[in-house]
Amino acid sequence: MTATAIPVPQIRPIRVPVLAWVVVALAVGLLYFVLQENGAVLTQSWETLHEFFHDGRHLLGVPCH
Amino acid sequence: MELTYSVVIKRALVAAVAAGICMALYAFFVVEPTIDDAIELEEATAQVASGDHGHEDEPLFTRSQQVGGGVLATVLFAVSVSVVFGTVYATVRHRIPAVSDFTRALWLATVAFGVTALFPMLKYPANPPAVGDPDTVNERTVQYVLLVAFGIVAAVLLCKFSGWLRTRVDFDRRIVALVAAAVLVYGGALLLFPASPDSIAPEVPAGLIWRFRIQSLGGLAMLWTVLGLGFGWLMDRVTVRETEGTPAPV
Repeated sequence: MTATAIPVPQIRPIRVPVLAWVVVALAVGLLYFVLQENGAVLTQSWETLHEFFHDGRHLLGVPCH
Repeated sequence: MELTYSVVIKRALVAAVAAGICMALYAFFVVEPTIDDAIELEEATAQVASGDHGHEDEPLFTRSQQVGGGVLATVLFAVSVSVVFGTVYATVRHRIPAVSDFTRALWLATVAFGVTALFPMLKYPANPPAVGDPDTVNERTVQYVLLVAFGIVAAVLLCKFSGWLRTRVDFDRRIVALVAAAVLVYGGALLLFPASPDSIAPEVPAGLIWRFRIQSLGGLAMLWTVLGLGFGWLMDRVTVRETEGTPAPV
């Protein structure tokens, strides 16, 4: 018996607007502020964010103090 | 009807809300007791040492506020991740060789879980409060982000490699070559990336640390499972309906 690739239907690509990638960048930025910010970008209020999202950071496996 | 981006992203967002709610319940009922145990231990240790550790003096938030913040963090995480996931899915959908959108969605969710959750967890595992050293948090963050970025880039390159092999070798050889390449690339990264600068204090019981690590990985696995299954099911409902009117391909 030889294994072969399963024939799959050809489908047309979806047109992804450029704006979608802007939103993706915003989402990644939000992820950064929720999960990673430790004072590298915000100089004053990082600790507030850090402490508020504290439990979530630990749960999601992100480095925390 | 042509499948549009907005059809895809809306379904990703709906699946993300479901995943976020599951994750929030999981965080509240399963993980919080472990975090409480860790904080109790941290406070007991801090009282003995009375060092200048960030947690004990004048906390910015009460514990119940932090629980709320944690729940909010998981929902924000699920929604943000789904925007990235949905957009990537729309971009690569026609290149994932599968019979339905359900299988395609499961493939992409599995890869995303493996690369962004399981792989970094093997090198820099999650730790409960009371373990991390505040002085090394930036160093650990850089290591962690670089490892996740490496994992994503490697996954993209492995897909390119697969496409390159497709026209050159048969199916069996391609799969063997891909598995070997993946083991080499990811295994090599786990060996070569620098170790975490933190050492775990001997006062912290290994049982507590590992309970937390398993719960953290389990939570992420659940999030990706709900997101992948939910999104795949919602997509199938559109695409199956769409093809119902057309005669079956011969």
